[in-house]
Amino acid sequence: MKRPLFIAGTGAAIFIVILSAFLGTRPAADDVTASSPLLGKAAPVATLSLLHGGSVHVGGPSPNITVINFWASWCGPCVTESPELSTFAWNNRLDHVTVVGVLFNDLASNALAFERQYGNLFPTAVDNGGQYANACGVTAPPTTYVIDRSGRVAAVLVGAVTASQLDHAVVMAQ
Amino acid sequence: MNATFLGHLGVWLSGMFALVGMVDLAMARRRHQRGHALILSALMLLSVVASVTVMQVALITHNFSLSYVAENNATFTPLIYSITGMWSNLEGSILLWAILLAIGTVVIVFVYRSRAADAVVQWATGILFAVVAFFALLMAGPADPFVRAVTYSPQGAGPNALLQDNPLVAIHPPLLYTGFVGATIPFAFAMAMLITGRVGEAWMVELRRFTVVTWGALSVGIVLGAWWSYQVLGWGGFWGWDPVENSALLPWLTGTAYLHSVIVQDRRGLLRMWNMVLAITTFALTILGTFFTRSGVVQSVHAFSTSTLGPILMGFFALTVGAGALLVAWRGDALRSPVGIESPSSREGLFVANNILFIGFAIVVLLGTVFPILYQAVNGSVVTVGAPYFVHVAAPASIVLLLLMAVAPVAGWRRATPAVLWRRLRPIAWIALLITMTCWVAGIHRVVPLAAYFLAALAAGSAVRSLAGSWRAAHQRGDARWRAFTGPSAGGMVVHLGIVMMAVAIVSATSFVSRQEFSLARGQSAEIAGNVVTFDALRSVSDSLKVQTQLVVHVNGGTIILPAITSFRGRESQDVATPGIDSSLWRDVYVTLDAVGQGTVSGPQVASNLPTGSVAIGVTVEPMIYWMWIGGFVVGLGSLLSLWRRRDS
Repeated sequence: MKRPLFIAGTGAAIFIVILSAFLGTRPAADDVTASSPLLGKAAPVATLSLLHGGSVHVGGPSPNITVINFWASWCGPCVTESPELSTFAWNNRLDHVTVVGVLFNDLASNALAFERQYGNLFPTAVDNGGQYANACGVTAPPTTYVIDRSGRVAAVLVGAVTASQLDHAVVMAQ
Repeated sequence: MNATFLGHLGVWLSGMFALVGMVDLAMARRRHQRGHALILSALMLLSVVASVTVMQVALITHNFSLSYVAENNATFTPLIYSITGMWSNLEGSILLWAILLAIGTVVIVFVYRSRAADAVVQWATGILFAVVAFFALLMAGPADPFVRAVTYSPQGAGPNALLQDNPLVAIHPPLLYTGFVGATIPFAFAMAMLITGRVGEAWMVELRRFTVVTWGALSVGIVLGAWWSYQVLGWGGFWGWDPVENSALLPWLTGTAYLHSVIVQDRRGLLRMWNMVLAITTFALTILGTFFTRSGVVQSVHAFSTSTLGPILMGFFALTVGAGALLVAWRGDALRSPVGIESPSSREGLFVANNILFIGFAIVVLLGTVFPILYQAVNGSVVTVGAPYFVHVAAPASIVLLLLMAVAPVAGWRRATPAVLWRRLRPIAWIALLITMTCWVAGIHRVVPLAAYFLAALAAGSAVRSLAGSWRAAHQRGDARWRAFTGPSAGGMVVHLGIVMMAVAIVSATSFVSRQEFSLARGQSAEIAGNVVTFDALRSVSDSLKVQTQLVVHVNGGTIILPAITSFRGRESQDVATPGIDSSLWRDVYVTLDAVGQGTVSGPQVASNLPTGSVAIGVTVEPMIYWMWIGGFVVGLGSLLSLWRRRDS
């Protein structure tokens, strides 16, 4: 006797268990810390103007650990990491950690639209002529630099970052 | 006695009562007794209510000894956002889910108290208890809302700025969760029927009145979420095909399929097993959606709360849904209906087509949501699936669904021929054609919007035809005329009208949107799509909660709107662009303040080049988008009307 539902149901159950095992064991984040000639060296110092007005000073000794994220509105992984960076910036806003975005080869109007769409919870600076990105050796967004309080580069993360990676990097920079 | 202790006590007691409830039902089952489900579920609910009360009191009194309150509340947070703080983060959302589920359980136990010794009711109640116990377990362990704060700032961190900008956050999440919880009830009964082997009974039909309400709540919840996003995020859109949005849409799609196929079971006794599969699938998708939202595995623009819940949620998913699939395998073939659908153009035939479309749509959305995880597992690199993928599927599927909405209500059960359908639809089709031609004359010459308007008019006409029929019937019965709009089928037609409004709104707003950025000096105007916006003044406004750089803009010389850059206290480092919207039934003019000129920086950027005193504004003109929100309201109204039983039935 044919029992199509028996076969379909059993197949579905096996599929569900495999899917659950697969999804349930996905890591929340991959380790993407990259080696960089700047690691352990002093980060380039600059004063950059912010998209929404005002300016920000990056590099050099500071009471805060600084996370610098180079991003662009045309970059897919930047969309992916935007909520993670926002989460991280939000969770650490009272803990002497500053997150600054630096626009990489993009128009401010596009960046503002991106911020509106994805609700970035950290300020972003304009890098005219890509001078700061060049000084940092950034070739493609997203790239994230973690700078410790003495102004040295503690970690460089290439590709989309997650809040937990940044937490880890900040602990290393303490 | 402190908040941490009391909160934990409520969570533990609720879990305990749920477990005792399961044991009690198992013993009652063995002895063929009624058990004590009513009293135990009531105690369970009371325990959850106690926990929720502790949380609410802590939020309202800014009791920062709770870590959750310290992180999501501040001394200056207004009352409404203190209350909504409960669902502004993971742990509190689980608490909201738990209380809604406990309420659902009590309602079911109470409504079926006279059948409390029935095996199906007992099993279903036991499964509901088990799901509550699972949520209590989450709160006792990985998602504990009552963790004591070790250190905290004396004024509190304050809620996420995006969640204190619009009162819609007070109703959107509870409605959404009501919809999710509502999926648990048919799931519990489907499992109970499969376990007891009483698969031939009409429980799914009987439960329809609950599922219609929770489906309505889910629908309105989704629309309100879109409205919130439109009013707060400042990008002029309302739907981004983000995993979080998809996780609400997925159960809605299968739930909508279910509501239709249950009617076929009611009228023709067909599709019984299919309905159980749909009930199980809808529940499965709510859990999977929670996984997408809360595990941190899926990258989402909404994933403000990540956690370690992933493996636990997927374990629960595998257990419940896998068991469901095995039960279907075990019992399913006993229920295969000897009769089939006689004619594809009969109403049941069209409902099956509707089901295939909804399920196909759901599969495509699910694939698009899961694809980045699969790709990353195989290739190690990150990809995102963007809106175009989803739109390619959503647009044709919606067009065909509109056609089905037009045809199905005029089709008869069992036998129907295309000729009969055409005869009934002909007058409506002429009117729809007239409307479409009017649109053509008015200057709309694009094929897709015209086709959509034609089908929308056809679907609306079909719904109005049905409502007119029940209007006449009500008159003949001597009932009050408003009674014509009550009952399942009339309520369903009102829902159809709401969906048509939303379809027209979506088609118009996305097809004929105009968007442009302008830089304006004070007193200057800009024109876009026949609307003139004038920059009147720039001012700084502040209150106890926020500081705003506010732009005063005149739209067409009349309405004043106030787009702003808002900075909330406690989180001054981040600005929110609050849009100013001039809404009307015909079109919305949506203005955002993008930048205020500093006049200092040179470079290619528009914003940086602004002279001091000038502003950069983004203007979006979207025709008819207001009908989206009206349509959502009508959908909710229709699902409530369908509850109202006619006296004669």
